[in-house]
Amino acid sequence: MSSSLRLPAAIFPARKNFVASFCDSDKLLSMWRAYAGNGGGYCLGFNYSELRRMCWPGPKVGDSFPLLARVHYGNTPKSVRSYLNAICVSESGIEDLLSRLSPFFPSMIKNAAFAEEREWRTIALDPPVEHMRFRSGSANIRPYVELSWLHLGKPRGKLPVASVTFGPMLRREDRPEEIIGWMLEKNGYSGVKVTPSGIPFRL
Amino acid sequence: MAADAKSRRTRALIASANLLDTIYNPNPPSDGVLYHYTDFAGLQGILESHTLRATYNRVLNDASEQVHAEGVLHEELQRLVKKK
Repeated sequence: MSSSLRLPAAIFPARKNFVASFCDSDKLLSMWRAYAGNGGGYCLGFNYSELRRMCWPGPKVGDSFPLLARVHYGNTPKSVRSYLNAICVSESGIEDLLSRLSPFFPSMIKNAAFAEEREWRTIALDPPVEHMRFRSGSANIRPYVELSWLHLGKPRGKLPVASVTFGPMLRREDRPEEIIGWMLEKNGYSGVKVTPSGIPFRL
Repeated sequence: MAADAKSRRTRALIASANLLDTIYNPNPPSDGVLYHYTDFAGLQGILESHTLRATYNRVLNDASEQVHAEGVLHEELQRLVKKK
């Protein structure tokens, strides 16, 4: 068969994917430098199993619940390859086959150049415009939605924060542990571990 | 012939189930924690609002990511088609 097979121009129907990013380590210098104030920022640790319950501000908004997924880098994940291999590909069936791939996929496969980020994402599909907010990016406008933690469909309030690590550029004599502790307490978070990154990095 | 079709269908169903399992039940991170790097404004905003921001993926640092993902799947399909 055939070189004559034509794949649809866009494999995935136009969806609006909104993502919140996480990493599976708080000890990556490249992440500290790129995303945390060039080493002078912070890294919040969230309990994974609780984070999986992260949801919309209200239940039943939008057409699906957000998904917390691991990002694959470079190649098609093995499970997708097996899926494609197992299905008889024919020109007539191709759109149907593709439509059964998860609409979350475009946000789960990234260029191999980003592999060091070891990213996980909460992916929200097609949030209604009335839930969108907007902020300034470095050279663009960044639409976003706010995700809160739901339990049994009801807002649970506080996020499942397990730890706060402060960056290698912050000086211990400026009392970051104590002050972050106050911020946590003021906002109702208790039992959260606050520690330095332990990375010996200075500009 | 019918048996062939049946076994193909079974293989497809198993692959499909595996695919969904990979997506919806990934192996959890080793220490059971996921980390979010941010600056002071981000830390303050998260603690005060009790929310996390999910940003439109087409304006993130890899603006081509959606196109990249489609390209990867496209190549895989082309390879399969050539093989058949």
